[in-house]
Amino acid sequence: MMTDQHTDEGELIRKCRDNDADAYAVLVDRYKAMAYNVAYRMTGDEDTAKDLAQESFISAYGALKQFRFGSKFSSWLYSIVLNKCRDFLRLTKDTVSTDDIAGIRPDKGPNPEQAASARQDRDLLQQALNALSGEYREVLIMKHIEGLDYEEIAGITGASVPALKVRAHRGREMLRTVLEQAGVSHG
Amino acid sequence: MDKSREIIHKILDGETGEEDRKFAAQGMESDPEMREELTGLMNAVRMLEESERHEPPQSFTADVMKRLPSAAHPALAGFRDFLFGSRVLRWNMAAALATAVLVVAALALSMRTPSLIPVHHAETTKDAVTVRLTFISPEARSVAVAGDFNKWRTDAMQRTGGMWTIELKLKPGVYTYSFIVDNTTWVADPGAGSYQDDGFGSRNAVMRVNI
Amino acid sequence: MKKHRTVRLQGVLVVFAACLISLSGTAAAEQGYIDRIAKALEASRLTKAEQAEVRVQAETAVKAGIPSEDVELIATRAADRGADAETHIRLLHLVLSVKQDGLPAGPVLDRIEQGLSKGVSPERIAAASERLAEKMTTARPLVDGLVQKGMTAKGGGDREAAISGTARALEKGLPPETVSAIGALVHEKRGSLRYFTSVVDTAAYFAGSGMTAETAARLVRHAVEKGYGERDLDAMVRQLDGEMKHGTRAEDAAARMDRETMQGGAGAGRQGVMSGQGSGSGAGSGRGAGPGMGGAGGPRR
Repeated sequence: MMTDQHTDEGELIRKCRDNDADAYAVLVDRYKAMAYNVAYRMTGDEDTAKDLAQESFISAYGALKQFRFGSKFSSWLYSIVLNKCRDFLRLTKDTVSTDDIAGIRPDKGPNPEQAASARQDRDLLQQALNALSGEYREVLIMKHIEGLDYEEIAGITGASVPALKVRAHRGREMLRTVLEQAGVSHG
Repeated sequence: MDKSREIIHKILDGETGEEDRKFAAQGMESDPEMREELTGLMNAVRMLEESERHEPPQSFTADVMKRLPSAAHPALAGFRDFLFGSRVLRWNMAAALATAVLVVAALALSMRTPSLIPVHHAETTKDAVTVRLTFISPEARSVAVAGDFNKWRTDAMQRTGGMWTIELKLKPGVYTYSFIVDNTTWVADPGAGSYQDDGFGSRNAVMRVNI
Repeated sequence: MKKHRTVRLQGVLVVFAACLISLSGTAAAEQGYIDRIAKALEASRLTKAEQAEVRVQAETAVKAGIPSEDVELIATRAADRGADAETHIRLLHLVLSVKQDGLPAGPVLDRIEQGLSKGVSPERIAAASERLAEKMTTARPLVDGLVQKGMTAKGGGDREAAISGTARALEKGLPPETVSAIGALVHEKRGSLRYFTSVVDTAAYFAGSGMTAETAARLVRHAVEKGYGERDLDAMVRQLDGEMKHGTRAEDAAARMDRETMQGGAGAGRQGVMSGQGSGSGAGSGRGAGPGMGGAGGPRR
């Protein structure tokens, strides 16, 4: 099954290089959720996520010549999305410093309803992620939300596996601190 | 506790062997601190793993396809990408070009006063050469220059009207440099003699001094 | 963990050595850099143990001959950029190992300092600098081979620039054999090492702009064959720049430029002189509204 998708993709990309618009639409459809989700988790804003994800696909289309067959389109796309997010974060300098961690609180007050509580937690997760530096955010999103292994993340980000592990360790500890200070507890 | 922490992270990485798992199991039973640490970290990771996946809007694909260069105008693709691609987030080339166009119009009116025409000017003394760099940007609040001649420190340029200048004393040689607009945007000198990749996906201007 | 114990011990030795040095008084000025690094690290999020580790690495680098000014710049800027301990050490260790390998440290220091100033993530800087150093290892024998064959080099500066330029061309995908062939051609035409550097720099720029490595190499080879000098090569870069601003793709611009070159250089002025002489100032006017508005370089007709 995996091989089929892989071969299929190679075919699609070849068609795209020949200006076959329909082929690229298939690729966009296939990966839009992944690109959007990563961009959202990185930036915390839906509109920004949409813009960055779309720009990633547009850049990817322009750069298809540089895509190496035999490698995964998804890995390549991940690195484009992360680069766009990094550029965005650098320009907006949105990171909350670790000194502000104590100030992170849920948007809404305590609500006995299950659904509302779950929503709070969701918002809280993003707020907590926003408190982390870009590098920690990246590896946690890639590892625990996108479910990639360190080798693949290394290929995407250019960082070494040991460096990524160090970042994941620290990122997790920081995330835990932020969440606990904001009063999140699970049974 | 350090070894415990190491093992906890290995568990979270999904990379534990038989020995490690035994150690962890024992630790969980006997060491309340370790238990708390692992639980706290596991909660954080579980929140990530179970986090809601955000769906892009319905029109996402259509919007992308609309913005792609049409096959009929392949030239535009390179143009758009050059102006608005991610490189530009650093160069702000589009803005630099826009400013340049405005100024050319203004300068056309003042052609009689050649001193207003910006030129990179070099005077030779014995060893070092005085090189004047100029950059036109009436809208900028500050412009600085950084290069391999000053270890990429940012040296502020002086403003005269819409023109920014600086004089550098350099020994003959080849130098790479860039302008920094408003402390945020790095722009490769549009009037440079040549350019060079900077190794980070952007480019720098290149100047040859008396060579 | 073992690491911390070693750091504490090293820390003690460092303090002891520092006391001895400061007694003599001569190293007072140099000691200043360590204090400034220490201050910058204190303001960072590194732990005390990590700060000590970084300081040790910094001192080791200086002792190996890396200028203290550069080490201080790197350590303090990295701290300002929020680099973690691992990245700090990675950067300092890299310049140390480049030096120990007998490679010129300048290009690597330059890339690191540049990246830090530009706000590139320290992780990415480390990766990009390690990549450069790796390519320099391949570049060095290539360049030394040319010098041995008799290519003119004016001192260490020319050699360092050549190694750096070759490494950048290799980074952009030009195979070592291709760069060697370019070197042989330049040598055949009695070009200097500095001229060779301009040629590979130009090829690297072409390849980085979207031309394939083969196209980039072919373009510069033809230029060398036609006797293009350094300013002519500069003019080619500007020409590509201008064409791309108007929407032409790099490969298409390359085809046009190649035709012009082979037809006798209708585009670039034949400023010639491969040994790199030239007159006048560096760059042209700052307007940059389009091609052909350049100043001292070869204008398009």
